[in-house]
Amino acid sequence: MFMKTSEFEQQFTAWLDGKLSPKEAATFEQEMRDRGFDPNAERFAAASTTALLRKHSQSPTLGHRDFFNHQILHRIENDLEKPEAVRSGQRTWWGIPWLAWAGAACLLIAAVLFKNLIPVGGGSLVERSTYFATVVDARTFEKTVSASTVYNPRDNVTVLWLDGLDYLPADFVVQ
Amino acid sequence: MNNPEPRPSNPQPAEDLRASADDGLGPLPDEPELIARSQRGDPAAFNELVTRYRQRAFAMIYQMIRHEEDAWDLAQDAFLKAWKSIHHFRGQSQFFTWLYRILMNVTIDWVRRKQVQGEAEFDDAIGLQNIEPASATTPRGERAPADRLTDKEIRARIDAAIQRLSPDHREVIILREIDGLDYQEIADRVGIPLGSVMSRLFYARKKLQTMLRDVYENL
Repeated sequence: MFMKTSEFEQQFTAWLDGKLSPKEAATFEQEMRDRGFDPNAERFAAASTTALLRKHSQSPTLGHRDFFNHQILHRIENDLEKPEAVRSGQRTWWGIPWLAWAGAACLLIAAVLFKNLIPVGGGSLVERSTYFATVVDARTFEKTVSASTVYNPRDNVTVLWLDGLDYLPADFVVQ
Repeated sequence: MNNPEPRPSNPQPAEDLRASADDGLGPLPDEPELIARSQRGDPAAFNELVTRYRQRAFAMIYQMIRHEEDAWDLAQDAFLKAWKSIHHFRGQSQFFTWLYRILMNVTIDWVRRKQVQGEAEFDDAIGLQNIEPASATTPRGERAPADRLTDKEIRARIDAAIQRLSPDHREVIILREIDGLDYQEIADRVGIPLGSVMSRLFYARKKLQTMLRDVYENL
């Protein structure tokens, strides 16, 4: 029965770096053979690769070192010259936190307005009001006739006033 | 084949060596003061920190991307990011450990952007079933001296092989094989569990062996 893949990988690394006890190493080497790995060849390959890497991986020295510092300072000074709001980012009105707060505030205002200005509850306005009149349109088809509405708050009455009519047709119904 | 000591250090100018905090020497006594002044917005203090760590920062980035000019530019960007976020540094780790995460984040972002742009290609989805036993790589015989690779060619092959590794694998193999850190140090530095460090090392080593076997077999 093979050990789990992740366990094998970790044991392999520990074995390669000499972190296993002799007994653990022997057990693991047997498992390697069972999986088709040759411990000696593995050790040779790993040691060779490591030596190759170490020998040929020297980093170059940082070039233009004074200019390196100068350039960073220059960029820092440019940054410091910006207004604080721009520099810090999150303090601008366009920052995501501010947009989120603005959105939340708008929702709150909308909720308050909805609650106070839009009547809610059962029944229509007409049913809940003792008096209700809606003048939808005050235009007329006759050029000689004009229509206007007048609301009298004292009597709570709305009057539809028509000028220019010869007579009111008998079948006319104000709806 | 040469077998150098496990901690080959990168060449560092004397002024940069003073601050080799991660080489076990610890930060210099005035470092907390420099950090505090930098946090209060003093560019001169930060400039001193840059001077101390610039070579190490550059070397780490260079090992990851293997390109000198790009490493120079990325080190600049990383220090600027460090300046902008130094007020977040609380002193719970060494300054270089904190700086290292910024350096690596900047570098890994850059490497991934290259990959998206099609300028880099690496395989992160390698599995044990794709791993070739080293027994398949035993030496097949000596090359003629004239056919042997020059140091420059070997270096080019290593650079190409490292660049084929995913950023995650690259990071751990460099910390282990080039910087000589132990598993726990790597786990702390990279911020991953110990088991993940060992798994990544396994695959990174195996991939490098496969890509470089004709090089080391014929040295």
